[in-house]
Amino acid sequence: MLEILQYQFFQRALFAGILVAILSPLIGMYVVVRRYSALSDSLSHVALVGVAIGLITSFSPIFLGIVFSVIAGILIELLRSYKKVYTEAALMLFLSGSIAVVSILISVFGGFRVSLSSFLFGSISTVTNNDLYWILGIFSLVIIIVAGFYNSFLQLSFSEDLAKISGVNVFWLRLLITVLASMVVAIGIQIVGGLLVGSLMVIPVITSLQYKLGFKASHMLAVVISVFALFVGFFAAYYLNIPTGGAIVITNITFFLISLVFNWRK
Amino acid sequence: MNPIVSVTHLSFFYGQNQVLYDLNFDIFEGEYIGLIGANGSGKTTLLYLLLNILQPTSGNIKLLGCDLKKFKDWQNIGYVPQILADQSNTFPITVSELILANYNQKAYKNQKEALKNVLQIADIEDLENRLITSLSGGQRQRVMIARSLVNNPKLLFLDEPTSGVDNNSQNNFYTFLDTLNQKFGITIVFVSHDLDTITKKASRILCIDHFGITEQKNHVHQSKITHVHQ
Repeated sequence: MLEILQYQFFQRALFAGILVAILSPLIGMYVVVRRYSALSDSLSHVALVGVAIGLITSFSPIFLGIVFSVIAGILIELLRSYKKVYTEAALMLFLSGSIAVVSILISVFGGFRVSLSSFLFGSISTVTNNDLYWILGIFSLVIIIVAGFYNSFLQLSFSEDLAKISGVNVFWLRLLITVLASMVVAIGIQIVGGLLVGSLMVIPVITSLQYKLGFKASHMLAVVISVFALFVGFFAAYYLNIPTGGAIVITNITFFLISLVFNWRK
Repeated sequence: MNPIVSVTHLSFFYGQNQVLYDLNFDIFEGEYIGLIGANGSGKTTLLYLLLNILQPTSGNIKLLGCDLKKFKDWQNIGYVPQILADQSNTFPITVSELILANYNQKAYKNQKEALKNVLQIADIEDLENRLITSLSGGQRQRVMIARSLVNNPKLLFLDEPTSGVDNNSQNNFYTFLDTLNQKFGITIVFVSHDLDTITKKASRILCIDHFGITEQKNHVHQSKITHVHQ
């Protein structure tokens, strides 16, 4: 039944997928409870610009995706902090701007269109050993930072004013969360694609929130839901011959709908 | 005696609008200060300046003898805001999680001991594992006080914490603050527009308006008034 597990490309992709499925709601929790869910979508679109340039120049697309996404995350946070533009408008600026750049790159360098489409919708067969090292490195970094700043991130998410009075450096920690989100979005692109990766950060979190648990319990449940949805999506994609990214996201949405109905009266 | 809070020539402008002008006052250890003023008089602005959330246009603030710009000892300062309606109604957090997120091991070496202690002081031991969203307004404010006490602060700022809380809970809350001030020696600065209650409770009243700050001796607690700054 599990003959697919014999293939190295599938093992690599599954391992990378599990790491991304753990990280996405881990950071997504801080994004969702701060009413900042649209951030993940904007960052993933900017990461696609880096991926496109990587494909054109034959330089690691995942690395450039991370670099572009992190730079965009920092710029969005700076714009937000200095109140030059509204948050939603800043996100829209980066989202539409990155789509515009990608469309121009496709028009000028048409040859990489097929490769780019695998980054738009995800393609597990494109995960290389090199990508896996990047994903593992970022996984370790994010886990260490979240563990180290757990209470500060929680205070910041609950109330920025209260966090500041408690001695939390609000500006730098907000920036740190955005940078971590940028990296997680960029590494998730290969698994579910740039158009869907944002949903990995948001849907498992809003699913777990339906159970009305405390912060830590909601956080852990979101990770469990995300990993479970990844497994279901991966195998459904293989046996039903459908795209992996789409299968994972549809599974996540199904779990959300079940949780919504199950907890309707809560 | 050195003041615990010292404000000299403090002014603040929002753009071109003058909100606070040339405020001068001191607060001493163990005092229970009522900070009153009409709506828009700048009470909350003053509190935000004292808490370093806003920066003064001019003037100087010292907390615990240290210039606010260099002040790092925030675990000695507690702050209880107005009811955080948005967070309190939606944020997925238990009472113990909210309190312990503010925990700093400088005050208590043992986290569990710190939690147990503040839950006991605030008389909310039975709420430890409840979600904030499931609590009444009065209970939430006790939780916010417990949160601010977890690091054993010397100074507690409260910004109209009883607005939106029913009368019975308000009375219990004021009694609780008396205990904190008298039994535990915590200096309290209570921002309020409820003149009747605050004049009964505070040892000194600071009345704020756009022209400055005036101090009123509190006749109910006159024996406590020893440090009125002129």
